[in-house]
Amino acid sequence: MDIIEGVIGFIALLMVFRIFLTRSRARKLLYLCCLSFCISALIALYVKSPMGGIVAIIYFISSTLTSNAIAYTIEQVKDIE
Amino acid sequence: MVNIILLYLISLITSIVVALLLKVPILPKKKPIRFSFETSIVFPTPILALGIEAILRNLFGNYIYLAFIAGLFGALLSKYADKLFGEV
Amino acid sequence: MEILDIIKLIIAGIICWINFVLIDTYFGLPEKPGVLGAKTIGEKIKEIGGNLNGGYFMGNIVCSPDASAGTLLASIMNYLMGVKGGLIAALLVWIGNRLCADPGYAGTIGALTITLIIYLLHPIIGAKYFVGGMILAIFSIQGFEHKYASILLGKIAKKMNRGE
Repeated sequence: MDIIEGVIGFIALLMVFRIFLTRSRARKLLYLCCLSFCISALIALYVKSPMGGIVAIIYFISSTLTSNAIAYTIEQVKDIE
Repeated sequence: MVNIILLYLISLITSIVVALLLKVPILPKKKPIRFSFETSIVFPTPILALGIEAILRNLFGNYIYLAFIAGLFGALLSKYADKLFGEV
Repeated sequence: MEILDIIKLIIAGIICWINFVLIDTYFGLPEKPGVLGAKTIGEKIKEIGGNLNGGYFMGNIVCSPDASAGTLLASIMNYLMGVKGGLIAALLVWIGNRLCADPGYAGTIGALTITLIIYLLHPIIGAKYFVGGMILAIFSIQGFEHKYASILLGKIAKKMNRGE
């Protein structure tokens, strides 16, 4: 295993543990964002072809769209309560 | 190398000319520019044309007419971006 | 050999950090929350003792692909396809920005500047190191310690006249 994949994988594992340990829902999103950066980089580094790059871009953009929707919902729920 | 730069230049100039014909503004009217959603000739048009040209060149090869098509599509996408993606 | 790799990785990380923080701050991420979700995250950061403008910055990164995403995706495509990959990444990041209701200045310009930097530096530091370096840079902001990261981002925003 190359050193770059090692570092990225270690950071991804660390982020998974921090997502479990954080209690606040809004701050979980920040760790989740870092995790999707890591997954997107790992997809591109393991699938070494132009299609892998396109898959990494589509994955990253759709994950930010999802985070956008979740953060919006948290705000709305706060208003209702 | 020179050939590839020429293709990019052709798509860039085509996109700017077509955008001028479609009456896209040169700079967004609303200030400050960094929060404005309006598309203009300076900001998204050349980048869209170069990106489409790169995709077409990777898929089909180095042809001059593909560069013209890329410039045309870049300008059209920039002109109708608001209708495609919706406001805010 | 291992030591040289680590030094290259850290230098690439510092270049990526400077690139995306300066571009994001210049295009006004700390000034106001672009979408409603970013406001929630900014207020939450302020609750734990951080800076509000730094919190808006971090919330905006979560809620739409900004210069941080542009830097990562452009270095991935540069690693896989060369310079034309960087141009494709800029196009796709612009489309993603528009889908997330963002004007898209920061993301595309970040992608283009990192393409230029990688093209200039590729005899010394390969594009692969920039992918790893960007992960280190985003880890230092989003994953390490939110309070101090937001205070640092708030200071940079104040120095560049973006935010109070």
